Order: sequence, then structure tokens, then C-alpha cells
Amino acid sequence: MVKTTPKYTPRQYLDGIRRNDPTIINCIVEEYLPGIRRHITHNNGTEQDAADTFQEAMISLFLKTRDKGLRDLTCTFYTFLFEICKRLWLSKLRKEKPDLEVTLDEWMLLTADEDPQQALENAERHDLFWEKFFLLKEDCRQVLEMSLIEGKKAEEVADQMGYSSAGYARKKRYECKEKWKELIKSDPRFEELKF
Amino acid sequence: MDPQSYYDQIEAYLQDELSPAARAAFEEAMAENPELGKEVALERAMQQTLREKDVRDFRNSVQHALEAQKEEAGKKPRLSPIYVAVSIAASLLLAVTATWWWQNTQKMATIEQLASMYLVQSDPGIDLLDPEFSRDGDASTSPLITGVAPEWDKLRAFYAAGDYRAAMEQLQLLKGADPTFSLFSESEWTYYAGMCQLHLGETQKALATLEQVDAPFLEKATFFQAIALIKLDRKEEAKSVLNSITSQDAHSFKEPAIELSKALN
Repeated sequence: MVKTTPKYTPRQYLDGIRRNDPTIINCIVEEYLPGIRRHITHNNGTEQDAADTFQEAMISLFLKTRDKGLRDLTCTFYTFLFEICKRLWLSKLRKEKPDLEVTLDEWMLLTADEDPQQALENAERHDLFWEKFFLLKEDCRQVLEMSLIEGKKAEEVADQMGYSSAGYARKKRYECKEKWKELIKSDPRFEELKF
Repeated sequence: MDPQSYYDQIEAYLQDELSPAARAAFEEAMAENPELGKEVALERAMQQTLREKDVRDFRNSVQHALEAQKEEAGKKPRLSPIYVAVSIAASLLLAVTATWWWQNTQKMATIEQLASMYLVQSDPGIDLLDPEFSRDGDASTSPLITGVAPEWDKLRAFYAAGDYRAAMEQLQLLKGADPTFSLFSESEWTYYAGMCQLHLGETQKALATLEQVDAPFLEKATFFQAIALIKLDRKEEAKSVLNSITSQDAHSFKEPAIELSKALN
């Protein structure tokens, strides 16, 4: 366990995560990743597993602060982060190495306010979808971002992209989305996600 | 239904743009056709992913931090066998030199250490209930009763905690702003200031301050002057001050003064 005095209070860490503050994120990586890495590499994981689990835990925390209004903790920030990482890693171990013996007593004792399997799948889904999104051509990404993020109508998309008509913009949006979907579905990871 | 219309239907459903009747029909179709249900779930997830741009940005920040840390770890020099051998040789040389130096300076270090030890052990600190503090011995004139206790408590707490810098600042505050400063003499204030300086390692300054202290704090101040002189390596002057203490039968610092005199000789 990390025994040094934390640089920030749990509230400051959570607030920094919510604001995507690089100073806080760097501090968390620097201070707490080594302990988490030690735990995971001592429990059948690699350094890459540790980095992946850490990243997933951080995203899970980000979502907790954004969607669940998590603002403060009754324990230290490290204890909380470490518990999330442990749960994610156990979940991954059970999924990837079902024959492996893992001590689940600890797992049972954990306060289960969230399904770790769900958190893991959300993170994996995010990874897969964004990865494939960036394989699309620039104009496709622009059309999808305008339609789906900015909520622009086909007429506006056509105007901004210099297309001849709103009908063509609609067709383009359809084709781009289908291409994206095809890329997602062709990846073996897609089969592991529940839809 | 052509593929694009099929897709338009899904999108309209997800964006809540269908009429109640069309919506009900679409939901019925989903219930009958699990493939359609899956397609809708996938579309929803795709849209949700795109809308969660902040999550993507956050993920990138964590990724950058992880990469930066990895890069930083990679920069740490790996120890080659030659480096290790040279390091061991250098360490041995350093150990031999240090032993020689230590043997030659042991006596000096002993006196210095003894002085530091007595500085800590013999310092009575700041005790508000010390009868010396309320000079006439009357509790009614003690700072505890005259309402300045919080400021004095701070001074005592800083001093007791070894935060002599803060204690010094507090002394300045009491002297400069507290109207009850008259409750304690210039001599007391000077003694505590000198002690703070001595603990802070401002030895020259401490000696000059302690030399200004008068009775009833003179006895204490004299002993700590000797400590300061030892620390300044002015041993003959230190011996003279210590002799003046050991020659007095009732001096409260007689015992440590004898010990220090022995060590100096």
C-alpha cells in the first residue's frame, strides 16, 4: 500500500478527474500506478494488463463523477482506486482464465455498488468503437460528428460539407455509419460484447 | 424495406421522432425480431459513444499520462557491470576516507554533539505557568488570566513542536501588536528570541541576542551562550563561560556545564 501522504484530498482528486485536469491525472499515475501494477503483476498479470486495468478504472471513476455525482469519499482516494482496479482485474481473470484459482473471498467482501463486468464491457466497447471510428475517412468522421454529436440536420451537413443536396448528405451519413458498423462487427472483440 | 429506410427507421426511433402509433409498431417489430433489437442496441451504443466525446478526451489524457510515465521510467539509466564495479570501488575509497576523517574529527564531533544534546535536553521551553514568567509570582498578572492566552498558547505550541521559525514570528507578533506585551519584560522576550535563533542554527545571531539578556533569565541565557560558543568553535570563550557557571553552587545548569567542560578539556 502507498504510505506517503496524498498530495490532494479525495474531493480534489475526484474534481480533477471530472475536469480532466492533466495535473491531477499525472499525479494519480505517478503516485498510485506503481502499487496497482505491483498487485496485478503479482496476480497473474503483466505490466500492460496493469496499465489497461488502471485506465479502465480511471474511466469508471470519470463516469461515476459525471453520471452518479460522486464528489467525495469516506476512504482515501488510493483505497477507492485500488479497490476498483482489484475488482476489474478479478473480473478479467475470471473471464480470460476461468481455470485459474482466484481468491474470491476478497471479492465477496467488496462493496458492490456497480457491476464490474458491466464497467469492463463499457470500457471495452468504448475502446473498440473509437478505434474503428478513427479508421473511417476524414469526411465520414465529420459527417457523423455533425449529425450525431452536434445534432445538425441533413441540410446543414450538406451546406457545410459542400454536398449538392440534403438527400446526398443523408445517403453519406448512412454509408458512413454502415462502414463504421461493419468495422466494429468484423472485429473478434465485438462477439464478446452483449448486444 | 430498403436498407436505408430500415436504418432511417432505427434512427428515428432512437431520436424519438416517431409518432406514438409508429413507435408502438416499431417496438412490436423489435419484440418479434431479436435481430432488429440487437441492431437498435448497437446503433444506440454507437451514438452514445460518439456523444461521449468527453470520455474519449479523458481516456486520451490518461493514456498520455501513462505513456509519459513509461517514457520517464525508460530514461532511468540501467546499471552496467562496469558501472557497478566502478561504484563499488568508489564506495570503498569513500569509506576509507570517511573513516580517516571520522577518527580525526571524532573529538570535535563529540563536543558538538554534546552541545546539541544539551541544547535540546536543557531547554526548559516556554511554560506559561512558570513563576518566573509572572515576575512577581502573582497568578493574577499571568498572561493566562489577562486574556492573551491564545496568542501565548500558539507561541508555546510552536516552540514545543520545534517550529522555531513560527515561534519567532509569533514572538514578533506579540511584541509588535499585543498591548499586553508590557506583561513580560524585554529580558524574557530577548531570551526566547535568542533560543529560537539558536535552535534555528542562526548561532552567531543567537549568541548576540543571548548576551543582551538580563536577570531573571540571565542564568539560563548564560548556559546557552556557552552552547552557542561551542557550536561556533570558540572553545576558550566557551570554557570561560562554563567555568563561571560551575563556580556557582546553586546554578541550575551546573551539572551539564561540568559535563561540557570535561568534554572541552
